[in-house]
Amino acid sequence: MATMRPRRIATARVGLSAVILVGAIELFALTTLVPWMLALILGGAGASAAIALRAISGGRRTDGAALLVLLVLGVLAAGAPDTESAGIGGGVAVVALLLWLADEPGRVSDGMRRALPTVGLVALAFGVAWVSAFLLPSASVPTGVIGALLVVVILLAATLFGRPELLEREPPLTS
Amino acid sequence: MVLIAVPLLVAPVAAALVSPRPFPYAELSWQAVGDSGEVRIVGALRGRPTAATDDVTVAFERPADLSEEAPPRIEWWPGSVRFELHWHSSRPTVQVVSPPSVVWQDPVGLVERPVGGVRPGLVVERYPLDLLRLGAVRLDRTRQLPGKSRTHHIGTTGEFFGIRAAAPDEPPRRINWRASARSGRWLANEFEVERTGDLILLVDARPTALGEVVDERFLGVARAAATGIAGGFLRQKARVGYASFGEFLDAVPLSTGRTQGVRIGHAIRATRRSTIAGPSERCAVSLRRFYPPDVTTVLLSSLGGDATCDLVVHLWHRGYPVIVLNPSWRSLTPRRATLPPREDALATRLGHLERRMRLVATRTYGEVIDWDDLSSLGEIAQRLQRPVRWRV
Repeated sequence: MATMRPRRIATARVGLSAVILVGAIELFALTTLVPWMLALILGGAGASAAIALRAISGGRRTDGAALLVLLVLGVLAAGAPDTESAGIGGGVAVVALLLWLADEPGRVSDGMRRALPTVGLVALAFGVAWVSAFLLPSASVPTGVIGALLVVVILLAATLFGRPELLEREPPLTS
Repeated sequence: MVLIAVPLLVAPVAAALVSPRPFPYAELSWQAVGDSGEVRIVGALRGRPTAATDDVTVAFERPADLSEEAPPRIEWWPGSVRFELHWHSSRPTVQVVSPPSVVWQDPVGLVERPVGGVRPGLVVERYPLDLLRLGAVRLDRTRQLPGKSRTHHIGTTGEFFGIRAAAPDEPPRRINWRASARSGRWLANEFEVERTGDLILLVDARPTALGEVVDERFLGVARAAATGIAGGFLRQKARVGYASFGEFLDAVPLSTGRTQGVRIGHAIRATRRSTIAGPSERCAVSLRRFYPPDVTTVLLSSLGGDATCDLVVHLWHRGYPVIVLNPSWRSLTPRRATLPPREDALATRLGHLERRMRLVATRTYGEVIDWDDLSSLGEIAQRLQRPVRWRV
C-alpha cells in the first residue's frame, strides 16, 4: 500500500524548462534576418533576465518575466522572414515559453506534465497553421493562421455541444 | 511574422478547454488551537476532482488584530490542501477570520476559476484571564418594574422583586392572580434571588480618527470583553442585553438564560466596524426602543473621536447610567517603525494626553474605566459591584 505524501513544491532551481526556453529562443534567433551575433545576444540576454527575475522573486514576478520574453520574441519576430524554419522556430519558442510558465516556483512541482494537455492543443493548432502556411498547394501565412483558428473554433464548438453544462450552469427545473 | 501569434492566441482558449470538469469544488474544515496569545489555525481543503487540487491556490486574510508569527505553511496532498497558520494575539480578542479565497489556476497561469464549496468563517477567541471573577459580581437592581415594592413576604426563591409576563410553563404558585385579572394577561411574580439586575452592553463600532487598524483592534478587544461580561452575568441569572452602534443600532433585547447567551454571542461576532458613523443621538434614541431607562449600561468605546464622546452625553440625557470601558490606546496602537524613537515617544505621549482629556470630559456624564491592563476585567467587576451614581 503506497503511503500518502505531500506533493513536492517546485523551486526556483528547477531548470529544465528554463533550458528549453533559452534553447528555443536561441534557435528562433538564428532563423531570423537579424545579424546572428546580435540575435543570439538579444535572445539569450532577454530569456536569462526573465528567468532570473522569476527565480529571484520566487514566482511573484512571473507576469513581468513573461512580458520580457514576449518583448524579445516580438523583436525577433519583426526581423523574421516568412520561411518554414523561422515559422517553426517561432512556434517552438512560444510553446517553450508556455512550458516554462507552467513550471512556476512555489506551486506544486511537475507543472510541465500537468500543462501538457494545454500545450499539446496549442502545438496542434500551431502545427495545423504551419502546415497550411507552407506545405499546402495554396500555401500562404494568412491561410495558415485562418486554418489554425478554424481548427480551434471547431474544437471549441465540439466541446461546448458535448458539454452543455459549461454554458448552462443552473440545474434544469425538471430534474 | 504572423504565425508566431497563433500559439499565443490559442493558448487561453486551450487552457479553458482543458480545465477540470466539473468545476472544482472544495470543502473547508479548520480550527483554531493554541493557548494564551498563540493562535494556530490548522485545517484542510478537500477538493473535487482530486487531480484539480494540485493547481488550487489558497490566500488567507489575516485580521488586523492578529500578528503573523511565521509564514503560512501550505501543503498540497493528493485530493486535499492542508495548511497551518501561525498567528499571535497580544491582547484578548474575539475575531471572525474570513474563509480563505480559493481559486483554481491552470498550470500555465492563463485561466483562473473560483472554487465552489461551503467554507464557514472561523471564530478566534482569546478572553481576559480573570473572567471567572465576574461570577462574584451581583448587579444592583437597576430597572423599575410596574408594581415593584418592598414587602416582607418571602417567596420560594427570596424577596419579591416585581411582576413580569408569565411564561407558558409557569407554575401556578408563581402566577400573580390579582395582577393577571387586572391586566387581562398572565403575569407572574419575580423574586430577588432569580436576578441580580439588568445590564446593557453597548459597543461603539463607528469609525474613529484612530484609523482602521486601531479600530479593528479595539473591536476585537471589545468583543472579548462583551463576551466575557455577558457570560459572567448571564450565569448569575441577570438580564443582559447587547447592542452595537455603527451607522444604525443592532440590538439584542434584555433577557436571560442560555439562549440569550447564544443570541448575544451571534450578535457579538456579527459586530463589524461600520464605514459610516451614525450620529450619537440616533444611538441614544434607538436604545430607548429596545431598553427601558435606568438600566446600567456598559459602553465599550475607544473614545477616538468627538462623536464617541458625545455618545455618553446623549445616553445620559436619555436616562442611562453609563460606565465607559475604554481600552488604552497604547496597547492598541501598532508600532511605528518609520518614526525615530524620540518622535515615537512624543507621539505616544501626545496620544496619551489626548486620551486623558477625553476621559476627563467623559467623567462628567458617567463612570469611566481606564482599561490599561487588557488581560484583566477586575476593575469593571469592582465598579459594577457599586451602584452607579448619578452626576448632575
